[in-house]
Amino acid sequence: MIKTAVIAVLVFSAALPARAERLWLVIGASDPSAAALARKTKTLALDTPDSLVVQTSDCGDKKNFYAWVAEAATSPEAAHAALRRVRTAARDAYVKRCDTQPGTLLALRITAVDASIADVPETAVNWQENDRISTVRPLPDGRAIVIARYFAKVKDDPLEGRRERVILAESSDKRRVLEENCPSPGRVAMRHGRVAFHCVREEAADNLIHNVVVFDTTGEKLAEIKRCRNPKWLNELVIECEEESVGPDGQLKLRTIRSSPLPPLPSATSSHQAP
Amino acid sequence: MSVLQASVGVKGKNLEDDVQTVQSLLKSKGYDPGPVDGVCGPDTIAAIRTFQATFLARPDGLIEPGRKTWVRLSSSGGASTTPDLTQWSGDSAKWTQEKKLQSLHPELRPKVVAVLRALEQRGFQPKIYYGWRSVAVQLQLYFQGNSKVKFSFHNAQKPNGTPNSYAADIIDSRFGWSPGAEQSGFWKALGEEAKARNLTWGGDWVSFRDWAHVQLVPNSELARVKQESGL
Ligand SMILES: [Zn+2]
Repeated sequence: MIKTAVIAVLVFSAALPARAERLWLVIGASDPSAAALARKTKTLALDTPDSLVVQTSDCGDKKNFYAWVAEAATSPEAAHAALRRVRTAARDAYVKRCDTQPGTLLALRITAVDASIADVPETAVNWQENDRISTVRPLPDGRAIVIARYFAKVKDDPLEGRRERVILAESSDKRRVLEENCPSPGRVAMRHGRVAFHCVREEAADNLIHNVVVFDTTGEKLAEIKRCRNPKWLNELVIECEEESVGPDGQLKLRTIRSSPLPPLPSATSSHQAP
Repeated sequence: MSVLQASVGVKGKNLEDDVQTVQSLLKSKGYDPGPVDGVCGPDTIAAIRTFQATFLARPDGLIEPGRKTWVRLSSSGGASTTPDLTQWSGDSAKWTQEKKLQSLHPELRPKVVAVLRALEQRGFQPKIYYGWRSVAVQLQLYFQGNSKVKFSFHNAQKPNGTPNSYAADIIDSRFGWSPGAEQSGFWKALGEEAKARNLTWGGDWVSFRDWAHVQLVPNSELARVKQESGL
């Protein structure tokens, strides 16, 4: 058991930083509301390819607001040079020192509010504040699952363009999109670096129906199990989930099923499988 | 017309008479504020918020005289102008087929009847599972995580509160949503018959399939329909 843990630490030592990283954020606009901030930043005509929206709770602040950050500099000098540029478009821009909390979107340099959110029509009926904000869920092996929420401009969309992209993030420069659109992604089940979770795919009477998606440790898709929820690993080759069925009475019936065996783990990682 | 002396709810003055007035109005509209006892507890605040969620993006749990929540809550209080909504209460999935048809928008009704007849002629046993369902039921589904939307075309109503659904869910009474519906070709046939009558079919929604669902207007009209419903 101890041996497994030691090897796991070695394997993932290049993962997310465990300690706070000090940054100087060049802030061009801020607002307590994600929706309002998205609209504000749209009017800022600035060419800043590295800009991102930061929630200040990622700096450990108790009171959270959303900040449009033109640049997350690693030194005060770099920040002040950037500040002079930003002030040409945003006169109230300022620099905020930030001790980045580990396991946050900021640590991964992923924006908390996608730029597309600014285009959500004001008349949208079913968009809530939470639909505009991306979130992160740390995994036990040091990596993280990011749910990036965005707006897809699709005509006559039943969800008014609400989308949730699921990203497997290893570090600020190493990430892979697992699902481009996974409404309401469920809890992530993990075994030997392999991950599984469910996404909403259908509606039936008063129930939402899901598919379970399964990925290899590299993020390669291994399987999609139709009409199933709450995946659990039986071992690293077999998944168990609850198959969903809705009859004419509209009642949801669940039945536990097992997936067919997945491909074996690559030999490099199979050496530290649990006995 | 009811009268409110001061604010009720979160950080409100919560005068006993005012709280009682609010509680009985919430009750009359089908919400559950707990007993009408003049005490503004968690149940009353939750009911205020649920009521506000039907027309406010950010319910704050507070009712103030003359403000939007109070205007909505106290309107249609005059019994003489209020239609009898009791006939539209209860679980609308369990209503008779006739009543489900009656709950549809007058332009949707003949189209759904025609779709049902055509499917019968093709050897299926179609029936309406849902016509209208109330906003209160919809919100319950949403907060339980059983729906992705707080307002759907099924919730459309006339401003006086009577059902006027822009959507219907049609199933084969042998299969419901089980795999038999697909294997027998029921979903495909439903899609064909619905679209032949210019209805939108939820089976075409690649990002989020709703096989049983047919709708009078495209999704882009949701905001208009909500507004038309007085919600
Ligand atoms: Zn429907």
